[in-house]
Amino acid sequence: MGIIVRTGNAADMQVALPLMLERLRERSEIDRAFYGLRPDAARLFRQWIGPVMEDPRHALFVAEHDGQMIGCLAAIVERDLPIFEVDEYAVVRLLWVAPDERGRGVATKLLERAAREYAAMGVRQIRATAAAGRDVEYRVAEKAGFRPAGVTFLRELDSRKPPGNKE
Amino acid sequence: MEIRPATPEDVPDVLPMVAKVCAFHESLDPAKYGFRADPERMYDRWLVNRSKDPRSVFLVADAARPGEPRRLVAFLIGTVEAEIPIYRLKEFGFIHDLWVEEKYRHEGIGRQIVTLAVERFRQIGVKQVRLDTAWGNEAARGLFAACGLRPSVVEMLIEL
Repeated sequence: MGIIVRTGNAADMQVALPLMLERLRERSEIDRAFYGLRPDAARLFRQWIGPVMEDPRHALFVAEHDGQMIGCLAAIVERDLPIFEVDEYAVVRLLWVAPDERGRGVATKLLERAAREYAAMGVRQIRATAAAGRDVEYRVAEKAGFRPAGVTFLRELDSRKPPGNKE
Repeated sequence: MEIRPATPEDVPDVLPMVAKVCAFHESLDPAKYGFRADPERMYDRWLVNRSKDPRSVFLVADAARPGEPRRLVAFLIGTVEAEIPIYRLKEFGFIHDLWVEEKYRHEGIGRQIVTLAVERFRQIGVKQVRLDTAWGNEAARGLFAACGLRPSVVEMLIEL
């Protein structure tokens, strides 16, 4: 049987949580400055995501193969500042695909499913992030119809260094 | 050229530059930066409050000569933002907007004001400074890279 992508439920969340944590740890390895996790991140993430997912517009989508979860995507709806015409949009908070299933279009299918569901809810945009320099992450999103919209820059500050010196 | 912290009295002169920042971004990406009418009006009180907030970084460049009334030609506004609690980093400095009037570009004002903002954030005690740039704004990306910032995350967007 092929890959099935569907909207997740509360039972799926129990399976998806450790997988999401695995993805958070992967991201932490890619860019420690941006995504470096606290030692108790797993507990805090569980505390945070539970109430968040109770909102009906905050959604979990799962990809399955032979009844096994091989990917999941968690998205929430966020409000933008009232200065913008598009005052709310969906944000992909986490997208995880099992390592041995990568490169088979699972992430693209999850993003496409999220786009269909959010369009049906009347949400006008979805935003997602890719780590800078990780071409595979952009390509996955581009295949699902996303385009690059911005780049976040960062600089770590070391309080011991004198003013004006670059880190 | 004097670069200094902004005062509440500077805000009326900053607002026309805010309008230009908004219009510039809207021209680059109307889907992401589509503004309601007169967005700068909504900045008015917020900027006044930021000018009095010791944990905000609000700087202006004044081109007036001694004895002349102020002539603001650039501004930068930044605040301290909280990170979600799963991350090691609890908070970071975030630069929301930077503008240098066209006539005063290529004189190093942008670099000076960003360098000063980074130093102010260091004094405030944050461990990291972040900012967002529009995908099409290559000049800004060059400036921020020259100021020691590096690209960390690319935002991808789909219109539904």
